[in-house]
Formats: sequence, structure tokens, C-alpha cells
Amino acid sequence: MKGSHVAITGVEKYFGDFHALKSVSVDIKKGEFYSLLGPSGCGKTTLLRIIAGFEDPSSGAVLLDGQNVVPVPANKRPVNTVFQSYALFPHLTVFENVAFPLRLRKMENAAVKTKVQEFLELVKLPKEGKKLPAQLSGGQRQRVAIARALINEPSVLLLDEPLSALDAKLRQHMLIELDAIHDKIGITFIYVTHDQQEALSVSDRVAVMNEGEVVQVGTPFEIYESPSDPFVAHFIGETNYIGGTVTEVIGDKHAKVDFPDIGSLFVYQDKPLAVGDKVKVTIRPEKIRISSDKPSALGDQMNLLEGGVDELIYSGFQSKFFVRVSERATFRVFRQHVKFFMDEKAINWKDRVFIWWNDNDGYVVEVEKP
Amino acid sequence: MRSAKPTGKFSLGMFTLTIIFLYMPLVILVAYSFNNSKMMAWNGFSLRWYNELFFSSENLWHSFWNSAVIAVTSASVSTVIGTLGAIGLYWYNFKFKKAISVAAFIPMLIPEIIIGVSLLIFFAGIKLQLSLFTIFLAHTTFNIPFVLMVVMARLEEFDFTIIEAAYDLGAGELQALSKVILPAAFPGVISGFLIAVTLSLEDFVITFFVSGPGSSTLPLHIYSMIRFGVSPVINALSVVVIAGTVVLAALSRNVVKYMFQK
Ligand SMILES: Nc1ncnc2c1ncn2[C@@H]1O[C@H](COP(=O)(O)OP(=O)(O)OP(=O)(O)O)[C@@H](O)[C@H]1O
Ligand SMILES: [Mg+2]
Repeated sequence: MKGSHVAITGVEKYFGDFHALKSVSVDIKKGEFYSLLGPSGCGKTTLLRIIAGFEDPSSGAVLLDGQNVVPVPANKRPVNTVFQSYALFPHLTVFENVAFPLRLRKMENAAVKTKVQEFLELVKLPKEGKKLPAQLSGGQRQRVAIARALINEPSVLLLDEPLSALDAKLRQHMLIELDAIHDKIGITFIYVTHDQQEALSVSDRVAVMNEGEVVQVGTPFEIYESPSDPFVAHFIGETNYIGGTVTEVIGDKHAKVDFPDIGSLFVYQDKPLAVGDKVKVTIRPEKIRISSDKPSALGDQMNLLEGGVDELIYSGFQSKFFVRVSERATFRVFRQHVKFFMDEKAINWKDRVFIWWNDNDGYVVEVEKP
Repeated sequence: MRSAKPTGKFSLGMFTLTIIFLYMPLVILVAYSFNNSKMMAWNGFSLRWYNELFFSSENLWHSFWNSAVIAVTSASVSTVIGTLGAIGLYWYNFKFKKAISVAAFIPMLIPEIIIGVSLLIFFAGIKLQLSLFTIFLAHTTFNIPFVLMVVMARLEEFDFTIIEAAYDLGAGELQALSKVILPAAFPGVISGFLIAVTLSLEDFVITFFVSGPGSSTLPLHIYSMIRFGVSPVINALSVVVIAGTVVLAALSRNVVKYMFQK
């Protein structure tokens, strides 16, 4: 692996009185595709700028392969950045933009030529070298910015929402290419985004941030399936988030929980639970099945509820249902449209329906001991 | 409502009047520069004033030369200072930044006569003899805010993360300045320089206060000639200046076009 190991330890950042980063510690492995994910204003860019060297932390350290780089100025760090606005030099051609770092090092002309061509090919722009940035499309500018940031062969590449200015289709496409470039080059990528789809689809690991704090670090699977924090449960995807009291602990993986207004449900748990604990549980809408016929022969620990369809949103590949199971409780349920003719009966607004899901699909996020 | 086009008559009338009032004096001036008579009455076509202008007006050409030297030198110095000042105000953060940027622009708003008097008092105070050098100092002083403003406007147009990008890619401070900031600001620097040249060439009021014996500029010289009656030589000179301005304007447009739109 050519990348660096990046360790951020206890980084604090104040802008005047404003506490922008609150004791942030993350550990990024060599060659990892690591995402910083969080809502606008949570401090992602600030953290990235501290790693790049544009901003000093108020306290704490940034270690590259064990060495603290906080005293090292930005132009001396083996770290390069792909800026959200691309930040291409408007007066230089594509070729000279990419060649810029090499020219600074006074590299020989012939060597510059081969190297720039190599990196323009890496980002699939072998023929655009003579153009000025203003003559390129948004996606092409993005590629130039990536080639320019990679040509110094940094050990860490920082990307600050690099795709946010592109349209949805192109974003998908560029994301796949970024992933391919990462596989090819093998250096550490730190990718900032507020888009959970982007973060989940390409990252090895994701750090979810909120209000200047890292609230959870994990693989996309862990972040999505086992959120350790109510913020994460809500921020990543849609969910049903309900609170109740444990009435029975079943083995070491399950429990029975009484939810006011809903009833008693089986849930999955990986934390020590006891009868009487108050818990918050997340149930992903796509894990819930829905039908207007009562399902026959459900297993022992299946959860089954009955309700009326409050609202129905059709969105092509799936439908969203809001099912009211009592006066004060509704569930979101997603149904994928896997066939043109559904096997089951169509479900309409105000229909009576049954919803059911496996005990493993309710996940305990928070526990409050009595 | 801005929808319908104006019906034309009124605005066409205004347009015609404007053109007449703007250009009529110039047309008359050009015509009289070819008048054989020293008086206002037309007395046949002649080039005698041009002859006099080019071959027997050493004092006038001396002043013209003074003006040119001062314009080029003061514009160059004020362009350097103004450009660096603009970059400093734009890119660096320091104490009293706000106060300094306001202070830098205030001279543009102060009446020239006050600047002229204050410079005169200042030069007298430091016992600096009035000469071409004091004119140069004065012109540099009043040109700086204009260059600063024009370059600032240019800098504000471009994305300032390109400077961070330069650092990020390994550039030091001087390299960022010479390879990124200055080239990107260059069109602004050029316009700043041209404005400074123009302002310096045409300044009368301030120059009047800070010029010493023998250090006349062209505007001062023309003024002194007029005090002894309007000489048709001035008409001829004006025509030359107008022609020169038109040629320069056309040239600089094409040069700028060539440099930035290839
Ligand atoms: N130079 C600064 N001075 C004062 N406050 C700042 C400065 N830079 C950032 N902040 C504040 O710090 C907080 C975090 O900013 P940051 O740019 O890191 O957010 P972000 O997570 O990148 O958001 P976004 O997704 O909108 O880019 C914001 O509330 C912002 O207002
Ligand atoms: Mg940001």
C-alpha cells in the first residue's frame, strides 16, 4: 500500500467562541476509502482543512504514519485536495493545470509530458490537454482537478464534496470512476460528503459527524444496520424509530419490548438488557412486508400489526406506505416493485393492511436503565 | 414597464442633441485647427498651426515630454503598489484590515484641490523642493487607490480557493503570487495601469499645486498658453491628442483581446 495511515487525535477547533470540532479522533488505515458524512455545518470541511494544513487545530494532533504534521505547512504535506469548486487555474490550459506541481519542482519537460499524459489518461481526458478550464464541462473539470491532485503522488487524497456540483446521473458515474481510481492507485482517500448514498456506496468505512462530533464510525453495513446513536439512525436512510420498555429477555440476542400505542414486539439486541429497561428501536421500512391479506403461518418470533394506509407515495421502483396502526403511531413501509404485476392484490389509500417483519429487523439503538 | 420599445421620436431627439453637444465643439476645434487665420473667421485651409506645433514649440514639447515621463513612471509605481496592496487586502488577514482598506479608498473621494493643497504643505514641511519629482510623487499618490480598486474588483471575480490549491500543490508564497495570483489578476493590473496613465496625463489641479519652476506638464502648459489668448496651436495640439487617444484605445483593446481570448 502506498497510502499513509492517518490518525486524528483529540482535535478541537474554535472559531472565536464557536466550537466547530469537539475532540475529534479518527483512525484511518493505509489505503482506505474513508468518508466523513454529516449534515451541512457539522464540521466536515473544517476537519479536512485541518488535515490539508489550511487551518490549524486549536488543540490535538494530526498524525501521518505516526508523525504529527500540525507544524508542517500545507505546501509541504504529502496530502492533496480535490476542491468542491474544482479550483482550476483559469489562465492555464488543462495540461498546464495538471503539470503545475511538476513545474514547481522544475521537472524536465519530457518527463512532465509523459507524466501529465499518464494522469490525463487515468481520468479519461487524454485529448483535452490544450483546452482552457472554461471550455470544459463540469464533469471534465472535476476530472482535471482529480488528475492535478494525484500527480504529485500524495499519500492521502482529500476530496471535499467533489461531486456535489454534478447532476445525479453524472455523479453516479464519477463515483464509480473514483472508486476505480482508488483501487488502481491504492492511496488513502478521505472523502467528505453530506450525501449518505455516496458515502455508503464506495467507502470502506464511514465516520458520521454531527455538530462537530464524530458520532459513529463503521463500515457502511454497520452504519446502516446497527446505528449506535439516534442521530445516525435518523440521518442514514429512513426509519421507524420507536420507544418502549423491555418485558422479557430472550436468549442473548433478542428481547420482547412493550411499545405504548403499538403493542408488544420482538427485537434484536447486542447490548446487555434487563427487564424494565427503556429502549429505543429502529426498524427500517424496507424490512417490513405489507399485504391486504393476513399472512398465514408466520414464525414464532415474527411481528405482525394491522392498520390503515394513511398515505401512499409511488416512486417508480418502489411504493412508500404510511400505515396507521393506532391513534398515535404510524409505520413507514417500503415495497419494491419487483414485477410488473404484483402477485398480491394492489393496495390503495385507506385500505386495511397487515404489516410484518422478522425479530432480527428491529434493532435496539439506545438503552436507558431504570 | 420595460416591455415595449420606446416609440423613438423623443429618444432619437435626445440622442441627436447629445451627439451635437458632445461632438460639435470637437468638430469646430478640428476645423479651426486648419484655419489659416488666427482669428475666429474662416480664412482658408492651412497647415500653419501644425507647422508651428511641430517645429517651433519647444516649450510645449518639453511639457509634453514631462507629462509622458510622469504618466508612465507614476502609473508603473502606483500599479505595483496598488496591485500588491489589493492582493494584501484580499488575501491576508491582519489587524486593522478594515480600517486600512477604507483609508486606501478615501483619497478618491477627497476633492483634488484639497489633496493638492495638503501635498503642497507636506512637501514644504519636509523641505522638498517642488520639481518633476514632487509631481511624480503626487500622481503616484492619487493613482494608487484607482489601481487598488480595479485590481480588487478583478480579484473578487475569481475563485479564491485557487490560491489554496496552489499552496496545496506545493507552491510557496512567492510561487503562488507569481504563478497564480498575478496571472489571474493580470487583466485588472493592465486596466489599472491604463487608468493611471490617463489620470496622470490629464491631471491639472493637483499638479498645479506641486509643480515647481521649469517642471510644467502639458495641461499646465496649455493653461498658461490660454492665459495669453487662445492660440490655434492648441487646436492643432488637441487634434493630435484626440487622434492619439483613438489610436491608443483601439490598440489597447486589441492587445487585451489578443492576450486573453486566444
Ligand atoms: N473561518 C470560519 N470562521 C467562523 N466559523 C467558521 C469558519 N469556518 C467554518 N465555520 C463554522 O464552522 C461550522 C462547520 O463548518 P464546515 O465548513 O466545516 O461545515 P461542513 O460540515 O463542511 O458543512 P457543508 O456540508 O455545508 O460544507 C459551521 O457552522 C461554520 O459556520
Ligand atoms: Mg463543507
